[in-house]
Amino acid sequence: MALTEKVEIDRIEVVNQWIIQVRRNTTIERDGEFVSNSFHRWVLTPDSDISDQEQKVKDICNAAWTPEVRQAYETFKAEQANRLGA
Amino acid sequence: MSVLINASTSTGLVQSADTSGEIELQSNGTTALKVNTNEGIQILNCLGVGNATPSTSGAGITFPATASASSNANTLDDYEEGTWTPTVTPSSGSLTAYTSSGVYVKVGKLVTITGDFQLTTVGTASGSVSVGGVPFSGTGPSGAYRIAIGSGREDNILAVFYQAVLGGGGNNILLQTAAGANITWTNGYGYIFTITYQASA
Repeated sequence: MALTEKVEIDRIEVVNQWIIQVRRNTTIERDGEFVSNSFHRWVLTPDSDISDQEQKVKDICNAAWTPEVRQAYETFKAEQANRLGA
Repeated sequence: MSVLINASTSTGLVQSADTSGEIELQSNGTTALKVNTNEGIQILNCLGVGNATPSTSGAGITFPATASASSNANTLDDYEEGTWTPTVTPSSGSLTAYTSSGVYVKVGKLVTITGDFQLTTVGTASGSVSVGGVPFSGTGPSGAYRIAIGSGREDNILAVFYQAVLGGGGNNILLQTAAGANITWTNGYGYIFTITYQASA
């Protein structure tokens, strides 16, 4: 009886303009048969440090975050910051 | 595939021998589905929808790992639970070290997250706190600067109540006291919070 763990990024979603949602799926198998799985998620924005992300995540981020999108995000952040308590 | 009527145990469609009129769908002698005019439909284990393989543990509804979003407002099309890691950023200075953890549950588009972070070495951190790393981007009324409000607590030293506010970008949470003051940046302080919001997708 062999238990194996498989970890993979199984979801990379571009939401609206600049949000990238990422999901990591950890699957446990016994002799090749599914036993259980668990998810870990995070969101990335143009100001996120993506240096430690997997290459396929970086590729999506770099494709989605064009200069125009980055500028729109900075403008949005500035608008948010002008509000009380931001 | 065999279809058996009036059998007590087998594989196939089985009609109860009593007068209840109950019909069971059995596989290898084990009942998977019961249909009864009085009690309705009973599924004994898990029901997989959207071509999802039903979970072999427990009993419930198994949704596809990748949600198949329905445009019908009355259709529950997703369920997921998992973990996330809150990132903690001060508005001023630099936070040297902290630990954090979080969990989430998503039902349809409704997301509830719980997170906590412990300030290990505050360094020069000060001002307001921005908690990022949420598992799903949130959404709210068009143009809203705040899209959800939850609650929190400094749980190690002060036992003080905090408001947890998800900003209009849907990906950062601000923790403030009820009066709008910033958190206390002191080594050993720990904050826990929970907030429910609607996911963007």
